Amino acid sequence: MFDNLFTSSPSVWAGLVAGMVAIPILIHLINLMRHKTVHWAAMEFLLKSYKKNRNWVWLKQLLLLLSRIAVLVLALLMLAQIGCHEDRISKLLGGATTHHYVLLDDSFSMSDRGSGGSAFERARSTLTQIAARATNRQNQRFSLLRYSNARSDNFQPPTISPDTAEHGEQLMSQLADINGELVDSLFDQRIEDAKARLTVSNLSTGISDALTTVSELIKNRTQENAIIYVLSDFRERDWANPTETEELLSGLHSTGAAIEFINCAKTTRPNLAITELVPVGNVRVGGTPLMMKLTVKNCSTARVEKIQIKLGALAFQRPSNDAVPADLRPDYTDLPAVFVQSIGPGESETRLFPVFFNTAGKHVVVATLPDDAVAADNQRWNVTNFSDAAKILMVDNQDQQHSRILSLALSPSGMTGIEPDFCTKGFLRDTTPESLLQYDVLFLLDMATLDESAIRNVESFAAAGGGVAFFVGPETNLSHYNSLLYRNGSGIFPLPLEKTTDVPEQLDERVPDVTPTFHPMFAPVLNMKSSLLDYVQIKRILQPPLEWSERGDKEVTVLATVRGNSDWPLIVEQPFGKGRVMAFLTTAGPVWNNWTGNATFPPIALLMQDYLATGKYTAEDRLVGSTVDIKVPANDYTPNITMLVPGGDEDSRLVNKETMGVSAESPNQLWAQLGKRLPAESTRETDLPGIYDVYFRKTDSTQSVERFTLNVDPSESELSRVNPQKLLAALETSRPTLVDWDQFNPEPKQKPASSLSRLLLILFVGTMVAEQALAYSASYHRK
Amino acid sequence: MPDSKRFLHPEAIKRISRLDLRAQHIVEGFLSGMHRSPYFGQSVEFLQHREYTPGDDLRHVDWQVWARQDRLYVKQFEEDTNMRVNLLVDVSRSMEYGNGPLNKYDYAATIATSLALLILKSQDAVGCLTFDAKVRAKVQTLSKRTQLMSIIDSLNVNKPADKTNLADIFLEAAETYPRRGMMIVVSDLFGDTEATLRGLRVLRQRGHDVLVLHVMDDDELEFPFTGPTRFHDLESDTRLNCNPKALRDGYLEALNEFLDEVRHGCAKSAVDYALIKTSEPLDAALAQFLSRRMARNRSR
Repeated sequence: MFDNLFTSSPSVWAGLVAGMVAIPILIHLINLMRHKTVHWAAMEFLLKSYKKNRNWVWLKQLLLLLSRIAVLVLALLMLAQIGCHEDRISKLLGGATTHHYVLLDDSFSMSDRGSGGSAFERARSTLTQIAARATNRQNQRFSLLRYSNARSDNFQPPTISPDTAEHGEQLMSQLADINGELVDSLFDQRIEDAKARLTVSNLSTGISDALTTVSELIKNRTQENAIIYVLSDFRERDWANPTETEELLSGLHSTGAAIEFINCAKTTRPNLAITELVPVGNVRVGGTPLMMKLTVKNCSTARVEKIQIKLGALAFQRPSNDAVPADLRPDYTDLPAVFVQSIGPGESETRLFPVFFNTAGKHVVVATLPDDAVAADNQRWNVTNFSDAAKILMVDNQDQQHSRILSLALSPSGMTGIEPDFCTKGFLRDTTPESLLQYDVLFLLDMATLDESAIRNVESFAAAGGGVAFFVGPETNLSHYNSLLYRNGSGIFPLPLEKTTDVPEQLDERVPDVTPTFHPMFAPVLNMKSSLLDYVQIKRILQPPLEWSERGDKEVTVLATVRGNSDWPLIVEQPFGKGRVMAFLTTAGPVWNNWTGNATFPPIALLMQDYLATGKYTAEDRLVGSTVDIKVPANDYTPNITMLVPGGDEDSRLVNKETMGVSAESPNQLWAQLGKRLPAESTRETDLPGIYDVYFRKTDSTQSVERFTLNVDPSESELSRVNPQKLLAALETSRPTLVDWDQFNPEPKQKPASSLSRLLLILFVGTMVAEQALAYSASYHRK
Repeated sequence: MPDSKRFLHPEAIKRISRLDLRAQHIVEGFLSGMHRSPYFGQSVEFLQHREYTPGDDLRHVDWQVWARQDRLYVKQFEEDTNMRVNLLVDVSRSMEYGNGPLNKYDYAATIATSLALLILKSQDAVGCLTFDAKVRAKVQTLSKRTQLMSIIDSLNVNKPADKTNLADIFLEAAETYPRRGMMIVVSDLFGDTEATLRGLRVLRQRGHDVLVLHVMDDDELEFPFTGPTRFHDLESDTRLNCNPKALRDGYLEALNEFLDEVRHGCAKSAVDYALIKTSEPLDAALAQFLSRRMARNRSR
């Protein structure tokens, strides 16, 4: 009941009550001192009267004094509006300042535009009204903090330790658009200036960081009355489980702060968002088509029909040996649009489409949705590094009987973009792990043995993400494989080998020799009643021990068996580091099987290669506002870099020049970080979605470029509004108020008196009447 | 208020500082308003005849009676028996109170002087005794012209003291003025009321006609004070801080008890009593005196 008053300043409250008690007593004593003196003759009669009436006069005077004290204390309680939410006593006394903290949600869902403008424009309008509320009162201060500015990692490392008043002040001075300014006659102009700088960000930021920042301030500003306004669109995804927020709000409420939520979103309108745009193939070669995957989500509550997604390809030329190219604009090509008939509410639709770039380079694909409620999520970029060729290394014996056939399947006439290199096992022994990194996949074909250094190189290659495919054959030394390559499961070979098994011919019932499992590698033959794969004959395999077949290995997956016999695994796979390793327990060439003569062999071999190369091409889906670490070898690069970031006009980008420093983790690397807060700006250099380039100059005077794209967080696209009743129920302990922006009243009416206030009023009037009656009775009134 | 009375009002009297001039002003003003002369001189009021004895003034022989009866008789007139009036004036500290133009002391002294002048003008003898805790001054009862100044001198008392027992004062007055006459007591009578009445009875027992002029200030009769007040007793160190309004009713009750007791006590002892407010015109006391004088003559 007395929360607000006591928590705002108990000592002030105690002082006020003591004052109210003391004032009548002091006045009484002063009146006694100010009496007039009469030299009186008829004292005898006066003393008689005094003696007779003394007790009664004293009693009446005491009652009168008590009633006057009661009148003052009751008046104090009424002025303090005990039982109401607002603490007016400080305002009455003019001693305390009221600080209006405005937390402005500038995440991109606030750009939700309807007929009456966007939610952010409504928030800006409400900002003016809040300022008007402050302007109409005395002793008011004003602070404005955007969600995006309050990101916990968005301020310079403070020089003052946390949990101190100075720490909060330092944070606020760095982050706030308006920091505790006194509201005076010129404040209207200042708020207009601040509003002119406010724009919706492309970020997906919640209220937590802003509340944390403000909490730190308020808990140290005990002399102020705080009112916290939250201008937001109150989406379901942000407030569905507000446990952390509730803790922060409760903490603020316990300090006596009033919390007002102002909902600036009018209705929930249809909104589509591109949630995914990634390549699905791992052969990324200039001149070779690459399949891209595009996913569109309907983030609203109504079905959306007939969606046409515009696609484009931005081909970048490789940097020349000169400086950054003068013409930074890429070569833009429209791609055939993708059409989606309809998407249900909350559902997603995925489409595959091919892209083709003639030349190698780090090219960009962009997809664009038609205009809808939120524009920021209607466009998405993907950068893919197209190389000159997808290089693979085939390690074969001198006769190359396996590699020739396999290379024909993987790169017939060089059309697939795959470029095989051939070598013997001696190359593996003598090469370095770095030299192997140029290859996507290593094929080890019927190797009898491998030197230990070769094994180390292969394992390093796989651990770094490369793909390794083992084909066994007549030359394969089982004991060597078991001891050095399998190593009881810790080596790169997926399974132990026990013996060579001849697969008997089938005389009566026809069962396909190759029995595949559900795996993308077998996509061409899956879900078919009969395929050409059924005609493949496997004559001989290397068989693992029966115990292994029965026990299995949780890391090893059997992708195909001979005739469905689990004792005869044909193709097994295991992850190794970041890479993948596959073992074919038969020959690549037509020695132990006739698969190479089957039409299914080339597509399955291509898919196998694609699958094994997955580890080399991990998808990087960076979000706007994130930081990007750039590390290059110190020996090969100069420290000067040039960064091109989105911004400026639509067709141009901003150029930032920086100098890299030596990495703290490794002195052999130069390091820079993209995404720092821009000087004198509240934004970061990575706060816009789009294409980012970092141009390096190497020590050999050549130029290279690192290109990446940043996209908005699709989770912010969900526009479902939270149920107000549920929200207030969830935040019951912090007692916020929630109004729509058009219901916000800059001059709130006095709240109706609570029952306690009414009781106080009745007591006050009653005590006043009693006081007057006592005063009359005590003859203080002149007749 | 009649014109003649206007000049007898305390406001007007206050402007005259000398007591003798005040008295003259009052007496003249008082007499100018009367139709019958108050003076008691020769051949004015015939009282009785008595036989002539050698030595009598031949001018008083009633020759008409001698012609009819052939016996010599002389006429006797009222003035022949001069009245002896003694003024007993209270000059104690309590008489210093006054919130009007004249305090009780001024008022009492003016009354006493005026009475003395009036008495002297009618060839009667007048004496004066002033008192507080004790008798402060005595003036013998004489009718000579300089008597007035003697009385005025006796009324000027320095450092008045508190009042104690009026019975002793009145006893001493009776002894001071043994010959029967009129005793006019001018006082506020504050003190032991029982003793006061006892003293008055003593005077009566000695054959004196007693007239009590009870002088009271209006404040004492109405107690009009408001607001926190400290009352400081004029005759002692007693102080009382109070709200007068709260005590007014009790005060007036006690005062009225006192007045009733005095009034009844005087009536019981055949003492004439008149309550005189200091705000009233000063001829009231003279009127009281004359009224008493007339009644006395009639009864003789």
